[in-house]
This record gives sequence, structure tokens and C-alpha cells, in this order.
Amino acid sequence: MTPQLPAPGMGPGAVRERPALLTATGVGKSFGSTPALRGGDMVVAAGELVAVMGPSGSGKSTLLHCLAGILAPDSGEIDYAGRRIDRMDDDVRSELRRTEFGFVFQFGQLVPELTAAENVALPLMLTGTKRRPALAAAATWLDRFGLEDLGGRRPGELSGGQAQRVAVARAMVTEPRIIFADEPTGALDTAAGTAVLDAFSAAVREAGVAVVLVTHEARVAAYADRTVIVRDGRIVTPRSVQTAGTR
Amino acid sequence: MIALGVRLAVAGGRRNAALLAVTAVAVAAGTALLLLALCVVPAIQARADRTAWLSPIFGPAAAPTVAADSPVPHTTVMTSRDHFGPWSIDVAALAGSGPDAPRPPHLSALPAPGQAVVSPALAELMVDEPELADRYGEVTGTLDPRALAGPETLLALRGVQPSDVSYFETAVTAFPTRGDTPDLTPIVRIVLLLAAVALLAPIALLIAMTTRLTAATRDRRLAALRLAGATTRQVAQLAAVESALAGVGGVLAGIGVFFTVRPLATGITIYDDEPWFTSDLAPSPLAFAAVALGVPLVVAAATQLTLRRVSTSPLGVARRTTGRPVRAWRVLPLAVAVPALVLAFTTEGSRAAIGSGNRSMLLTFGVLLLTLVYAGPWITRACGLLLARSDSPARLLAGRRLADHPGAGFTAVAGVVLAVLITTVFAATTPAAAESVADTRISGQQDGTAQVNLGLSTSSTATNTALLHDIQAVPGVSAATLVYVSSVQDGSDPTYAWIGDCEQIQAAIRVTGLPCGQAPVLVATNRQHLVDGGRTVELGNLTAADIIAGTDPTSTPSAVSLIPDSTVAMPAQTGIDTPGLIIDPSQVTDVLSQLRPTLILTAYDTDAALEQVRTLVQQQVVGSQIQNRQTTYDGFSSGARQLYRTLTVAALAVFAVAGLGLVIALAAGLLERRRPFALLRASGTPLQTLRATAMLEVATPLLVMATLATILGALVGHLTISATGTAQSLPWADLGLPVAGGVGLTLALVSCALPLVRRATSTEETRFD
Repeated sequence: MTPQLPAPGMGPGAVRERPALLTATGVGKSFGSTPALRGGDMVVAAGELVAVMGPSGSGKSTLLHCLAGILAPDSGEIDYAGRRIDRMDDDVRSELRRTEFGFVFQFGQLVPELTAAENVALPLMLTGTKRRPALAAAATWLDRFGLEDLGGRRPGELSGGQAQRVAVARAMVTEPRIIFADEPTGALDTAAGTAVLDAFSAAVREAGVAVVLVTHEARVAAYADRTVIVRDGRIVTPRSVQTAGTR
Repeated sequence: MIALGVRLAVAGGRRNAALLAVTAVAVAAGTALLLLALCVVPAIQARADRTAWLSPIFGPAAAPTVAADSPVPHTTVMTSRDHFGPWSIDVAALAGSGPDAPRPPHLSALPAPGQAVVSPALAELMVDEPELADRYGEVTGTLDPRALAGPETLLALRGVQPSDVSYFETAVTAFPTRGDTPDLTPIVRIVLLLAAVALLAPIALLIAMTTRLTAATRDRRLAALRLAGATTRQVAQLAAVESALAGVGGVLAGIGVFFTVRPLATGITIYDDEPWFTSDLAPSPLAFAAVALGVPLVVAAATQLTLRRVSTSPLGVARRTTGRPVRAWRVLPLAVAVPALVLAFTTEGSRAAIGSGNRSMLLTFGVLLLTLVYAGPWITRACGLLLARSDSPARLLAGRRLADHPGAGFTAVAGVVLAVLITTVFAATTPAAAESVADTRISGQQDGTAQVNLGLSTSSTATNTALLHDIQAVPGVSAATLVYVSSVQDGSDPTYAWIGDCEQIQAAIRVTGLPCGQAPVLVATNRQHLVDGGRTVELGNLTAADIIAGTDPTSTPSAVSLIPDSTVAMPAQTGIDTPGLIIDPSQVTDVLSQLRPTLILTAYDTDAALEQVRTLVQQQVVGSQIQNRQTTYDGFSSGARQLYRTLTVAALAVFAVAGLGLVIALAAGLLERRRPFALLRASGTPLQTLRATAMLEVATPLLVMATLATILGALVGHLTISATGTAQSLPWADLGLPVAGGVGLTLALVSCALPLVRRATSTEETRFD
């Protein structure tokens, strides 16, 4: 499957003309005495899809966690829409993640006891939406991802690709401004991964959502407007999709 | 395979080691509780054996008896109960026939008349309370603890003359060393049995549930081994090795914990007010061996059961789907049993077939317990489904979990169901007992009055009169009078009667408003039927002590004419120690010449005066007893209170064990879902929502099942009471308070585990590499 080309005006050169939504400056993070992130700058503009690539253990997931406010960085600044995430306390960051951000992880993010529809509706219910409208919204998103017949199934009754599409629907249901995706196709075969990415990229571009996509696969990074390389905890340099894909 | 199993368990990472350690700790806690529970019966028997000598003519090894005037060496024993302040003191008066008279165990010689040997605890009390020092005679030594009920037993063994205890016509030629537990009536035994089952079942469940803690990580590891080609048998062996490590380690630690906490556990009084000797709390060797071997087996068996998914398919863990549904017919037996029992108890013929009393109570209890336990998973699932309809995400998560795993949700609270049923059945069937626990007014005595009962001695009228004068001379005694005691028999219903001066009686019992002087005989208003139609009634129930020595009881004139003109009604006293008749001595002069006055009524103003009276009475009349409102109440309600205490302790223990089980269930549930929960938290789900989810998962079945059990317990009580033909309203406060307290305790324990939610959903769990 050929990666979709960036939408007009969304190419590497174009994104810099958009206002920055998320800005990281000199972000560092250590676990004990082991540095995971050694500083670096990164900007995510509204509506762009940024791939974060790097070898296993390079710090790309830690970078994503810091950008998303899951982890508080030890040093540096992270600014989201004029607000310093790194200075927020845990409750405020939780609320931000719940209301402004969406998340897609590699696997295991769906609650096994809930149906697919309930899993998608859950973030809405967490923000105070009543059960019935939340389920209605979930059904709409499941339809968009071609899962209209699977809303009543449990995660264990879905294929890996189906479960990830449910996860993407869950990330989109609150209409976030940024989605953080950590190896969203890492546990899928090529065909299933491609189906997920196609649906994912189409949905985010349509909704104008910014995406930070962590991956170690060039095939996945090819969906992005631009790519950021992380190596040994450092953000090395932004490269084009094509360059990253040939490495 | 064993070496591999050990290596996998030990080298399974820090988390696995920690979980194994937690499992071992839980097994240790269960083992220690089990050992303590198994101490109960041996401890009661050991106490009965040690104190058998105090009731030598009772029990399985009752001593051979002879007549008091037998030439065979013998000892006469007379026991009574004295009091000092809030303490009860058992007094045993011993009169030996001579130097060869038998002695109680561990006593080198019988105390001589006028001397006493006391228990160590009483000796200490005598040092602190000089008034008590010479109450029982000159103290010449202390009793061996091996002859005592417990370390805090207050017991005086006093030497007396044979004439002091001549009221007793039998004497023993030896003292038994093996005792029965005569106070354990069949109903008490049944209650203790139920309490033991109620305690042991949750402990077994607790031990079995601990294996769930490591199940998630172990299953993943073993599933990987299955994928690598390990057979079902090999996987089972590896799991057995791992569980054995935790099981054996836990049992050994539990035995250590048992011996460590044993001294503290001696203070748990389950049957009477006596703490235990540490040595009493020792399970039999057989029970010890059964625990040491049985607990690891239970752990291993529980592990094998949880392995079924892995054994069936190597992908069994990863591809979990909706569990096997719990069918609605599980609730059918309960739905049938309740109306059937109600119908059976309300239909005359059926009720007769079922019978009444303990049998019917046990029948209904057993049926409702079994059907409720059988229906429990379905009820839990129904609660889960209802909960999941809520708008709250926490309720949705918890409700779906309960609906998917109703068996696990119910198992954790099954112990509570038992505890609640037992507690409520007892409170419902014995409302009077439960109520009397907090009410001393049942005795009918007024504060500041005491009744000196001289009816268990053969002291002469002169001796008793002299004692009365001594009591009247005690500073702080405001009134005292000596009365004759008898009763009037009316069918099978005796009426307690005092023969004495009405004015003096009124002063001595601190009752105002008696119509003294209006008639020579006062009849309580609720005993008016005795004098209807001017009947002549007879004084009865005279004992040898009531009659002057040498008088032939059969020839004692006892007819009393109670004609309407000579009687007047007095307010009925509702207590058990107040008379229905007060008869002026002038009305029964013929009788009085042959009777002994055996009751001194006393009004006192100070506690010190009461103690002086008690000392005087003990010193002058062997075997006499003094009752005031508190002591009468203590004696009257002791059986009910003992049962109540036993059940309360058992119920609290069950609640505590169930609480531990719920903590484990909560932890296991979190561990099983730590990745989705951690990812939910990473996605912005408030920690509070996840905590509420965890709490709801355990609290919902707990509250629902506890409420159901309370209702069914009340039903058992109501049916049992109605089977006896008496109409009594259910004491809802007595039913609800212990249940609410127990559930509260359980939830408090569970809430202590809530910090686990933060730990189990840390960012570390969101990493996939």
C-alpha cells in the first residue's frame, strides 16, 4: 500500500507556517541514574502528523510520555497552547490528557470486560457525558472505522487490527487536538497495520488533529508529514519521510 | 522439572518475587488464623480439665461420692460466688474428714478451718484492697496455676468445719482431673460449631484466593512455555513447584506468626470472661499436622484450578473472552426455599412435622445458607449488570467486571454471608438475651440494695439474727431486715413470697409506695388471681435450709389463708428478685416457729459499706451469697452474654478474614488489569475513578449479600420464633448494628489496600518494550 501523500499545504515546508501547538525545549528525563532523554527541542503544529523514530531504547516513548504529560520532565520546558505542561500538577495534567489529548498504544489498552462500544464511550463518560449519548457517539466513530457490527463484542473477541481501530476510535471520540500514538501497529501484521494506519491518518486529517506517532518502522513513518529521530536520548534532527524511510 | 520450576519462580523478576512473597504472607496470615481457630476446642477442654475439681460430682470423670458421715476419708466441697467491686470471686469451701481427706490436684494440703489458699490474681487484689485481705480467713498460700481456669482467675479456697457445709449430704473420696464442659448445652455446641465453620471456611477461601495474586504473571509465563512445547503435565508441575514454594514458606511463616501472636490472643475471651493461659492455645498434634500438610495442598489445588485456561490452550490467557455465563436457575432454589419455608412454618400440619426450637432453626438456617451461597454468583452478576447501566465510568468498569467474573466477586464475600447469617439469626431468635446485655434493670432490684441469701447454709436463726445486727451496725448501711423466704404454688407457676415486716422491707429494698399497714398480706397486682374468691393457698418449695434442723418437713404446717379482707394489692415489681407476696409474720405464726429466716435485705449508701457487708457475711456464714442489681444481672444474663460474645468474636474474626480476602481479590483484580488500567490512567482517567472502580468491585457484592443475609437471618429468626407460638417483634437494631459494624470493618480493611491502585497503574506499566 502506498502511503497517502500529505494533504495540500501539509508538507514539511508548510507545517512551519502553522502556529505551534506543542513546543518542547531542552527536555530531559532520567530514571534513577539512567538518562532516558538528554534534551532536545521539538515543535508540533496544529494538524500535522509527526513521526518519532529511533531504535529500541532510544527514548522515543519517554519523549512521547513527556510531551503528553504522562511523565514530568526533569529539565526543559513543554508548552501546550500557551500552558506549561511541565509545571502542572498531576491532576491538571490528567485533566488535560482527558480533554485535549487522545492516546493509542501498542496493545492492551482496551478494558477486557467492556464491549467495543463501551470502550469507545468511556472517555466521554469520564468527561461527564451521559451513558446514552456517549454510546451514540461511540457508535458513530465505530461506523467511521468500519466496525459498525462489532460494537457489542469484547476486546478478546476482536482481531488485533479490529481492536486497534477501536482504540483509534476511542482516541478520537473526545475530539482531541493532539493524538499521541505509541507504536500503534507494533503488534499487528502488515495488512492489519496498514488498515489501521489508513483509517487513522484519514480520520486525523479530516478532523485536523495533530498526531505524534512513535514508531520504529519506516513504513509507518511514511504516513507522517515529517519525522523526528531520537537516538541515545537525543532528538537528533528533523528529516523528511523519505530520508527516514531509507535509513 | 523441579529445578526449572524453582528457577522460574525465583528468577521471574522482582515483581514476581514480590508477588510470591505477598502470597506467602497471605498464606501465613491464613495459617496463623487457622491455628488459632483450631485452638478453641482444646483450650476449652484444657480449662474444663483444670477446673474439674471444683465440680467434683459432675462430669465424665465424676469423683466417687460417699455420705457426709462415711468413715471413708472424704472431703465436702461447697462452691459459691462472691464479689468485690466489679470483680467476681469464686469461693470453694472445703471440709476434710481428717488428715487423709482427698485434696484437689496440685494442692499439698487442705487449708485448715479459718485458713485460705487463694489464686495468684486474688492474692494481688488482696494486696491492693485491704478490705478483702481476711474475708476468707488467714491466707496461707497461693494456688497452683494448673488448678485454675486462667491466669486472672479470682478463686479462694477456704478451709471450713464439716458442720459449716453439712447442708451438703454428699462428699467426694477423690477429685477428678478430667472435666466435661457442662455449660456447653447442645445449642451452645451448635453455635460454636457454626462459628467454627463460619471461621474456617473463609480462612480456607482466603488461602485459596492468595494464589490469584501470582496467577496473571504465572499464566503468561507458563503460556509461553506451552507455546514453546511444554506439555500440560509439565506446566502443571511447574506451577505446583511455584505454588509449593509460596505455600510451604507461608505455612512455616504462619506457624511462626501463630507462636508470636499467641500471648496476645490469650486475651480473647470467647466463652467467659477468663483470659487463657498461653499453653491453652495449642492445637492438637493431629490438627497441627493437618494444617502443615493441608494448607500447601489447598494452595497447590487452587493453583491447578486457575491453570485450566493455560492447560486448555497455549493462547488461553491472551485470548480471554466473555466467561461462561452464570445461569439464572442458580437463584431458583433460593426463590423456592423462602416461600416454601414460610408456608411450612405457617401451616399447622407442616409446622408440627418440622418441629420447633433448635431443630427448626438449624433446618431453616442450613437451607437458606446453602441456597444463598448457590445463588450468590448470579446475584453478583445481576448487581454488576445493574451497576454497568450507570452514567458513572467507575460503575461501568466495576459493573462489567462483576458481571464477567461473578464467581470471583462472590467468593470474596462468601465468608461475610456466613458471618451475617449467624449474627442475625442469633440476634433475631434471642432478642431478650441481646437486649438484656445492656440492661441491668431485669433484676428488679434498686441501686444501693443487696440481698444476702443464707439459704445454702444451715446457720441457725440466732446466727442469722446476729449477722443482721452486725450488718445494721456497718457505717453506710441505712436499713436491713431479716425475712423468711417461701413461695406460693399456683398450678405450675410459683409466686415468690417474703414473710417479714412490711415497713422494714420497704426501707431495705428502697421501694416507696407499698401499702404497708393497710392489710397483713400484700399481693402484687399481677398476682391478684391468687386471692380471687378468698382461696386458701399453701406456702411451698421449702428447702432443708428453710426449716429448722430437727423439724420434719412433711409435718411442717404450711397452709396460709389469704382472704380478700386481709390482702391488698401492691404495685407489681417486674424483676426476678422481687416478691409477688409480702406476708406479715403475724399471719403465719405456726409456720414461722419451724422455719429459719434466710434472707437479709440491705440498703447501703456507699460501696465501702457493701464490701464490709460482704466481708461480714463471708466470715460468719459459709456459702452465703450476696446479690445486688449488677451481680443478679451478671448471673441471669451470663449465658446469653457468653453466646453473644462468642458470636461477636467469631463474626468479627470472619469479617476480618473476609476483609483480607477482599483485599486479595482487589489486588488480584488490579494485577490482572494493570496494563489497561495504567493506560487508562495515562490517557487521563483520574486516579480517583480507578480507586472507586476497585472499591465498587468489592463493596457492591459485600453490601448486597450482607443485606440479603440480614433479611434471611431475620426470616430464620422470625420463623423460629413463630414456630414456638410466641409473638415477638424482631429487634432490627440488634440485627443491623453488628452487621453494619462488621461490614464497616471489612470495608475499612479494603480501603487500606486502595493505595495499590496508584502503584499498579504507574507509568512503568505503559511501556511495551
